[in-house]
Parts: sequence; structure tokens; C-alpha cells
Amino acid sequence: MTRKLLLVDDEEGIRTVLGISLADLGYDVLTADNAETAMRIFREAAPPIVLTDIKMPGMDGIDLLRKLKEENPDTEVILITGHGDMDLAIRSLKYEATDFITKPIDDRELEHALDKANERILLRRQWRDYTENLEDLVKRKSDRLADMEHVPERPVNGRFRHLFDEMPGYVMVLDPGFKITVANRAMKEDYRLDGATDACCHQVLKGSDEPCLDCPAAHTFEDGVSHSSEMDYLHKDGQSCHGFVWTTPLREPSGSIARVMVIMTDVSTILDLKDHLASLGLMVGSVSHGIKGLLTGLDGGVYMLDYGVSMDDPGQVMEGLKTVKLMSDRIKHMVLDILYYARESQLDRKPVDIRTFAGETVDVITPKAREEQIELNREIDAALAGRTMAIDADQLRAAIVNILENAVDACLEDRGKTAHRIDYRIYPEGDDAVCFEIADNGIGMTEDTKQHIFNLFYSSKASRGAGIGLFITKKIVSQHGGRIDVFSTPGRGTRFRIRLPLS
Amino acid sequence: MAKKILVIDDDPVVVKYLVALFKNSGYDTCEAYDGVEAFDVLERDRPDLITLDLEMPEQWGTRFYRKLRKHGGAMKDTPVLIISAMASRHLSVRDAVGYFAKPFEPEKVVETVRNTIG
Repeated sequence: MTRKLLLVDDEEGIRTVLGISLADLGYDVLTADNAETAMRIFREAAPPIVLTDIKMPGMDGIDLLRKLKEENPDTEVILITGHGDMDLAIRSLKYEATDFITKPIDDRELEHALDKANERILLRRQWRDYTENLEDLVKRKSDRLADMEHVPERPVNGRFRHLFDEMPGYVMVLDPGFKITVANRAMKEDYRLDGATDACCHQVLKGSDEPCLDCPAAHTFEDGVSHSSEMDYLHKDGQSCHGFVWTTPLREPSGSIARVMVIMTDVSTILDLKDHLASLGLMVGSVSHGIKGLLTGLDGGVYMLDYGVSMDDPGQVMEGLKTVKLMSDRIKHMVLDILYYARESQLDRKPVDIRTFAGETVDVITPKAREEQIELNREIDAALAGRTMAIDADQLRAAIVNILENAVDACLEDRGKTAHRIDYRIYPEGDDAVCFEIADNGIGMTEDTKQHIFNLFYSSKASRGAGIGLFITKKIVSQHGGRIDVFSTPGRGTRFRIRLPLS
Repeated sequence: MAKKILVIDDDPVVVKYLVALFKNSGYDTCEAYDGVEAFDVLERDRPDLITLDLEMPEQWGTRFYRKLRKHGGAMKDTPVLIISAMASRHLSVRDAVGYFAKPFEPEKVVETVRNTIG
């Protein structure tokens, strides 16, 4: 560190005396007797401190001060003033002189001014160091941050690895060849990926050697923008599932896209729910027709009851009551069917004795058949004695009773015959199945009708309800692994056969 | 002599209701459950007014109406009352004397009948 100092004074005596004092203080003193010389020396030696007289022939101290500051604004300039020079002294401060000392020069004053100058030099240097350091620090940290964002292959360490692994759904990183370079834990476990294999996304999720036609990752590689899509994919068990996919580009520091991250969520259940809700909506629309029919029928019953009572007509009272009972029963069925349809139902299978179950089921319809004077024959094969089957008894009974009720209605609607009957036959088929057959000699149905009866909203008559009954019956039979067949001749009758496996 | 009403509906419960309603109001009735039968009864019983359900199988509701107006012969101008689940003014039945949606108000139906045939 140089302790160079430039002393400028036109008086030789001052230069000598001050020179010695300054040298004692440890300064390397340069001298000049006028401003021009001083500037020359200043330019050559670059002393940090200049001590100059104000009043000099030629350029005075103030002008020298200004010139020095022009050359190097950091120069510390101390002015030596005489008594009458207070104005000048104050002006010097305006031009950023460090200090001024008055003649005769007091040593302490001199030292004080020099200390001030040195302190300022020190502070300036520290400040400069500090800011340079800071800029450097910020730059280094920024660079490092940029690096971390850009390098995709850097192993995701520490707590980020943990987060990545625990993300729900499947997350993977693909290279431009669609190879899976990184995968989250769920994906690795479900699809049994290990680090060694070079599996491609389409091989793992679609079982295909070709990338998907509209692959969102391919789009992202091309245009550098996130894409999303729906797709069917293979579940780890081989089942087909439905998922939503989002892709996002991972860029190199250069800006090019080296990798694409793919996130997938399974939405199969949402799709099922969507379908279910859509058909519920459909059902409500078409059920309204059936409901209006049922309500009209109920109105009719109440009207007749009302009229019969007020006119004392027992015939109409009986008719009215009968109609009310019939319609409210049908309304009950319809409401229960709708409620059944609206919720997902699981089977609760328990073993039951076949013959007991068959008997209890037909018992439900026996009073009604008797009332309508329909002959009801039951034939439950003795070969089934002691045999059991695992079924949801409540649901299967409801399904079979629905068919029995239809048989009763078919008989009632048929005005071509005087005597009606329903045959209820239960018999084994081979060793592994049992058949429930319900045959009536009612009105029968046309080929056209037969094709539609199991459809969701088919109904032949409004007052018979919404037509969900047979749809649900078929569903329950299917859930038990069985099948249902219909045979019919218009005007002659209808036969339903339900075949249930016994395993 | 009492006026006669032909009730046409494929639903026997509704037919029973309307028959009781009209009989109680002093009318004679006859009934049919489909389009074919309806023409037979029309020919045989010569009703003064017809009530017709539109939602019948094989479109027999609107089919009957059109056939009546075109080929009904002596009966072709018989007044028709629509009693149906959707009783809006179908273009094809635009000359009906009344439209009643199910479930209907029995007094209003009888009033319209009375205003038409007395």
C-alpha cells in the first residue's frame, strides 16, 4: 500500500517544514511549487492524497482541486488556507475537498485531516470490495440455479427424490425415443421396471412396439409446449384402463428439449361414473312417461272410490279400491326399481337350498294368481333334493318374481282365452346348472317386442311402469353367471327360462 | 238418447277410469285398445265423440287420427279429444277439440265433452 502524498505550495519554506512532518508520519512525499507541475507529477505518480495551498500564483488551489477531481474523483485533496481565506475554504468543500487546514499549520490538525483522508480511502476500498464480491456471489449462485434446472439426468437427490417417488399416479421422464429414463415408485413397482431395462413408454403402457398415433409427448418434443390427452392403457394386471395424460418439456441450458416429463392419472372409475350418470339422466327422461301413466291410473282408482262412496255405489267402490291397490303396488315397484338402478349393487352370495328358495319365490305370487283366478302349477324336480347354490337370495328372488308378475299381467291382458295358467318349473340341467322356467298362456308378444323387452326403457304399457324391471332382472341373472331366454307366440303365451350355474 | 263416447287407449286401467268417468256423467261408452279395433268399434257403435291416447304401440295414436280424417267416411268429422302423456298440439292432430296431459283433471275433461256434444 503506497502512502504517496503530493505537497503543493509556492513557498519553499513550507514545502521543507511540512515535508519533514509528513515524512515523519510515514508518507512518501512528492513536491511541486505550482499547480501545473503538480498536475504533471500527479498524472505520473497517482498519489492518493494531495495537500495544496490555496493561494498560489498562476492556477490557484481551488482550480487545482477541480482539475485533480476531474482526473480522479477519488483523490483526497486537503487545502491549506490562510486567515482571510474562509470563503475560499468553504468553496473548496463544495468541490469535494476532503478538509482544509489553516496556517500556521498545527500538527494535530494536519494529522486529523490526513486521518480523515485515509479513512475515506479505506472505506471506499472496502465498499468496492464488498460490492464486487456481492456481484460475483450473485452471479455464481444464479449460474448454479440455472444448472440445476437444466440438467435432466442429474439424479434427483435427497428430498426431491422422495417427493418425485411419492407423487400419486404415474410419473416418468422420456427421451426423444420414448425410452423411460426416470420413473416414480408407483410406476416402477406396478410395471416391474428396473433401472437396467430400456423400456419404451408405449411398450409398457400399451404393449405396442410403435409409439401412439397422437402421442402428447411427441407433440411436446416438437413444439416445446405442454400437452394433454386421454388414452386407454394396460393396467399392470393386463386389464384395459382409461387415463388422463399431461406432458411437460424439460429443457437443456441451451434451450433445446432433451426430455419430456409425463404424468398420468387413472380415470377409469370416473368414466364409469360418467356413463352411469348419463344413463340415469336418460332414465329420468323416459321414466316420466311411465310415471304419468301410473299416476293417471291411481287418479282413476281414487275417482271411482270417491264417486262410489258419495253415490253409494258399492260396485264402483270395489273397482276403485282394487285399482288403487294395483296402482300403488306398481308405483312402489317402480320407485324401488329406480332406486335399485340408481345405486351400484353388489351381490351378497350365500348358499341356499334350491328347492326351498324356489318354493319361497313362487309363494310371493300365489295369492295374486289366486285372486285373478289364474291357475298356478309348480313343479320342483325331486332330483334337486338337498342341493344348494350360492346366490344373493333377495336379489335373485326379486328378479324371478318380476317375471312371475309379468306372467300374471300377460294373462290379465289376454282377452282371447277364458282360462289362464302359469307353469313354474325348476329342474337341473346336467350336473352343473339349474333352470327356472316360467310359462304363461297370456297375450304373448311379437318378435319385435321380444327383441326389446330387456332394453332399459322399454315398456309396453305406461301403467305397467318404467320398464326397468326386466333390465334389472337380466342384470341380476348375469351377475350370477347365468343367462335368460324368452320364447313367445302372440295370442298363445310366453316362456322365460333362467339358467344358473351351480359351481 | 245419451251421447256416446269412444275411449281409445292401450292401457286398460286408463280405459276403466274414463269409462267410469263418462258413465257417471251420463254418457254411454264404448272402448278400443288399439287402432284396428278402434275402427271396428267406430263403425259398429257410431260414437258422438272420441278420446284418443297418442302414445300407443306402432304409432296407432296419430295413425288412427289421420286415417279417421281421411278415410273415416261418415264418421270422419267426429270430434276428437286427445288424452295423452304428452298432449302438446301435435301438428298431425291439430283439429282436436281439446288436449289433456296425463294425469288429467276429470272435471275439465267432462266440461270439454259437454261443451262439444252436450
